[in-house]
Amino acid sequence: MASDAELIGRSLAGDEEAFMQVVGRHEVAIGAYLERRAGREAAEDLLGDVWVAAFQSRRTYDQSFAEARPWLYMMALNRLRLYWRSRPAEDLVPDVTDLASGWDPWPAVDVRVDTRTVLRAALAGLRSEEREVLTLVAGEDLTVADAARVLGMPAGTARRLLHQARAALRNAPEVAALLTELNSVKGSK
Amino acid sequence: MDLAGQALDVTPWRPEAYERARATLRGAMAESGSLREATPLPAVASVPEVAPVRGRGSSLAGHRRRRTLGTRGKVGIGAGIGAIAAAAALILVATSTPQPAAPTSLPTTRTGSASQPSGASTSSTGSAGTQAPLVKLAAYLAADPKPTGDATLVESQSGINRWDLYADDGRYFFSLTEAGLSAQVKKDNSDQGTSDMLRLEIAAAIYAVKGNLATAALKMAMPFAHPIGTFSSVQLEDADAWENCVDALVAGSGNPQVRAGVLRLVSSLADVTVTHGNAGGQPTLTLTGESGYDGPKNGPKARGEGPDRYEALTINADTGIPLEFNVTLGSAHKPVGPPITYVVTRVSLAGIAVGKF
Repeated sequence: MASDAELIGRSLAGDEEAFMQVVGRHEVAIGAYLERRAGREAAEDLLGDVWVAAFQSRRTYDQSFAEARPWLYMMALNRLRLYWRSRPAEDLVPDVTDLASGWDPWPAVDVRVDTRTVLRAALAGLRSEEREVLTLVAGEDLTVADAARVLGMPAGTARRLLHQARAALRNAPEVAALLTELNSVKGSK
Repeated sequence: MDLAGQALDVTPWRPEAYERARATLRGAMAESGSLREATPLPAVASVPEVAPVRGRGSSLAGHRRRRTLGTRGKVGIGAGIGAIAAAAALILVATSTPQPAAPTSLPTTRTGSASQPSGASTSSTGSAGTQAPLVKLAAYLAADPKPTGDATLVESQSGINRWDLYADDGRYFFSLTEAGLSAQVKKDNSDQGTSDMLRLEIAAAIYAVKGNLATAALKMAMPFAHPIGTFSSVQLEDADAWENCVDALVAGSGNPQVRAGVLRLVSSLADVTVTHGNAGGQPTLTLTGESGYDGPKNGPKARGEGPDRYEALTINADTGIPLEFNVTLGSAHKPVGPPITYVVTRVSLAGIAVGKF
């Protein structure tokens, strides 16, 4: 199977369908990333813009990297930044109300509080660079090194930010309370 | 338990959303002159036997209003050309007992079909008679009995197969595999956000069977708006109602009442055209409306030259069941990529849960 780098190379040689193959490989991941950062509705609109930006920038792709996903995350992050800059300040508060699905991971817990809403609210309280690293590593399953590449920072910096983000998330009062409640329920079983 | 991973979990998108993004890219490729004609036209390309007939009724044209939607399902296009003959069949599964029964085929045609233009003439526009195809079909469907089963299974083929299951009680499940779908149903893992949206769209369609069409269009265009009367002064475009009509017709494709309501409503949208066609001997109707997509900043829509994209849904002209969906570009309606094709089946949730498809 051709690598992303090979497909991008082919697209530069005139085979645009090769680029569509790259899109098909990564659209789920990039779409999910956009949704985590901007919500579903905006993400569905932004995804096409990301592909256009990536296609127009493909000459800059370093073909020594076989997989293009981190590069595509960079494209997505750049597009997100444009999107955020165009939004009124009040719109940037993450809308956590529509994020819960019907799936309850702890059916034994009498959940009065939307767990995911609590967690997402805690995420919103992180510093932006901490949130970016955490999203890429925990949400997009990138290595710290790849996350650093996406964000244009040294890997050591990314590791530090990741550690800070995880600690801040666990120590957020609402999350700590949630963990206490969950642990007490589990302990009683 | 990984808190961060759980907090960042998202529900998968419908394939149509990905396809719209790909269509955006193809549009940009085409505008840059770099797109090669790599994909053939769909096999069910409508062969117009009549000139496109515009729907009647008052337009909702006016100031563009952005849809405000939560998680929603949407029809789109994909890769590969499906078996249109197979897509034209409707198979029912009887559910008189909890045990899934053998599928039962329904006739795919009916006498006095609404698909056949009356008289020898096959081209006319604007007269009440030629505006009739959707209205006549809707009238037929409204009289159809309640279908068997308690859910509609829609298998869509677009490069990757996908199974969407629309329960009559409003729950919605999906998976990329049959086994995955069975597991979702067994766990009652319905997609709540999409379920909520679809439930409202289908309710709007049911209302449209006999209700006021202007009200029905508002209900369909803004399904979350309550009460609908407060939005009567809001100017909406037909595209808002059209896109949700497509959703409702796919989701409610197993219910003749839903099909009747959607088709009656669509017949009132002035910006939706109806074209007669044929797919392997089966008469079809292709409904084409403007996509709500705004397009690029320098695109035709931004320049005031008309819509960037259209969405075309081809239905079985005798049953109203969706067969194929296409996205096209500009006034020339150039297809953007291959279509999505559908196979619609009435099933039972209990059967699906134990792998009976």
